[in-house]
Amino acid sequence: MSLRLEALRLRRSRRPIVAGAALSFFLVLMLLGFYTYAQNRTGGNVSFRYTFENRSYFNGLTFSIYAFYFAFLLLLPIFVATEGGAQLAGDGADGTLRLYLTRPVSRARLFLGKLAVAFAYSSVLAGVFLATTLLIGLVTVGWGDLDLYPGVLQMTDRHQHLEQGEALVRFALAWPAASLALLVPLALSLWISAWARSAVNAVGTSVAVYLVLYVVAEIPFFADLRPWLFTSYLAFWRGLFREEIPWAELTADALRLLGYASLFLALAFHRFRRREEA
Amino acid sequence: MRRADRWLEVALFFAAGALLWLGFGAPEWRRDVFEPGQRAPLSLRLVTWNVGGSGSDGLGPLRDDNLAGIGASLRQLAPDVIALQEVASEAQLRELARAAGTRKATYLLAPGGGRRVAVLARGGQLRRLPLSVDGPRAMGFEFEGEDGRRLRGVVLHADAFSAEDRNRLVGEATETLQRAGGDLPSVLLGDLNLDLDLGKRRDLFTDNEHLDVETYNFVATRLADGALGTGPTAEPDRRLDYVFVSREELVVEHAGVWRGRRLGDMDHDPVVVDVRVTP
Repeated sequence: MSLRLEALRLRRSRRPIVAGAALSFFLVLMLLGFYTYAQNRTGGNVSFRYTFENRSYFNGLTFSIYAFYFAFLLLLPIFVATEGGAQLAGDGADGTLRLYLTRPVSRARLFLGKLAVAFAYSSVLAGVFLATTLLIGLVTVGWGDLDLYPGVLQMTDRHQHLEQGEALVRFALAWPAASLALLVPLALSLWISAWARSAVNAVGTSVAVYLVLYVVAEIPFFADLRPWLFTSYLAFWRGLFREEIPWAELTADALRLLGYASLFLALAFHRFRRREEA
Repeated sequence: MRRADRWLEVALFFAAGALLWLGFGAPEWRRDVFEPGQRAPLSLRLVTWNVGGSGSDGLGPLRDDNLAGIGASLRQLAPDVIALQEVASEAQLRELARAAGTRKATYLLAPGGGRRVAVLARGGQLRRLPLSVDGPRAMGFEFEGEDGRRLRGVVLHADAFSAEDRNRLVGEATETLQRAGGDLPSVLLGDLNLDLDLGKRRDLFTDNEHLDVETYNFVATRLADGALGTGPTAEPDRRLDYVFVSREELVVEHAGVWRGRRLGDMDHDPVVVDVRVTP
């Protein structure tokens, strides 16, 4: 009952439509950028002539990796944080939460219901976006084998070659891995939402905190902080695109992310248990 | 209901603690510590070392005070071919050859002045290989060991401040090696000033650092990166020095960065690669 209700409310919120529209616009821009970059670079830039890039390097699978990588780090967490931020604070602001709490339902069940629906939404958003990038790549450029080179998106330290079939399996594995990573910004935003009284404040704060942590992890002055920031591990799914998957490394990163997610969820629920609705 | 709430809260905190402990407590990958003594029999030992300084008085070539110490390290390493960068004079090379502990040492010093590249062999013969990019920063050579094994190579010291200059020098040197053809094994070694770990560092001093990715891959798709995965070679925590070897004719048996050998204001470690020549 609680799950169905949450799903219905999510659909009526139109947040999925906004996210879908923004991601579609991003994909159009990526396609334009990808096409022009491939045209310019593979022609042999006079001042920078020694390049490994060639036309066969740019195919639908490379496009998909590029589009998903940037969307995953810069767009998807924002939509996920928006979803989490809107949950408890939004329900509190419009009085729904007070109505819920008058019913004989435990707060644990209510909290888990919201979490389950928000997580499912995040996962579907990531999966549909990944599938769309692959489809667009297939239709506009065509697939082929996947070649990844050192330095590009920091995905590998040596040239990796995956045949098309194997590469598609890796894309399929990347979906649950990326969904797991998105659980952390979702949990963080739920924690913030448990404190806030207004959905706008909760969403704004959640997005701001994510972006600040992401930017801090990129600035060299804060290199010592990086191991402790969850944003450093979000893109751990990149390891799935190596010829030999580094399972030990991936498992450690996944455990860290799950640990951060559990901590934020614990703090969120701790606050939610004590929260009083006016 | 309250009991369920309490249990969920406790379970979440417990899960957080356990998962974070497992994630951060997992045994860290430890870099192999390179020991020069571990050398496969019949292997050729290649070394590259930028022996210049970067002290408070600015970048400078190899200092005479460091010659004895560097020579002692070379004697311990016992390499077959040593590519040096930032050598100031032939006298320094002579001194290094003497300190390296063999009377049969031969050497080549790049033309020009200032900080130059050089090649030193502890035995056998060295011969110049003309390059289109010949100068203080690049020199081609052919090496023939006392046992008749031969190598063709280029020693480089790429510009620290311009990605375009690095691309031109490294690209042309790579093409020269390939054009030379024949069945001689090829090596390209030196301080290429390429640091690919952009996630670690945003460089304030180069014009177009992300394009170093292209330069590295241009070489790496043609030659094998002999010391890949052995860690940083220069201050501060950067991998700038490389030994690339031809894939078919040379097999890397042992490679590493020999740390703790810098003297004074030196800021690079020697990179050592042992290769076996395939029959």
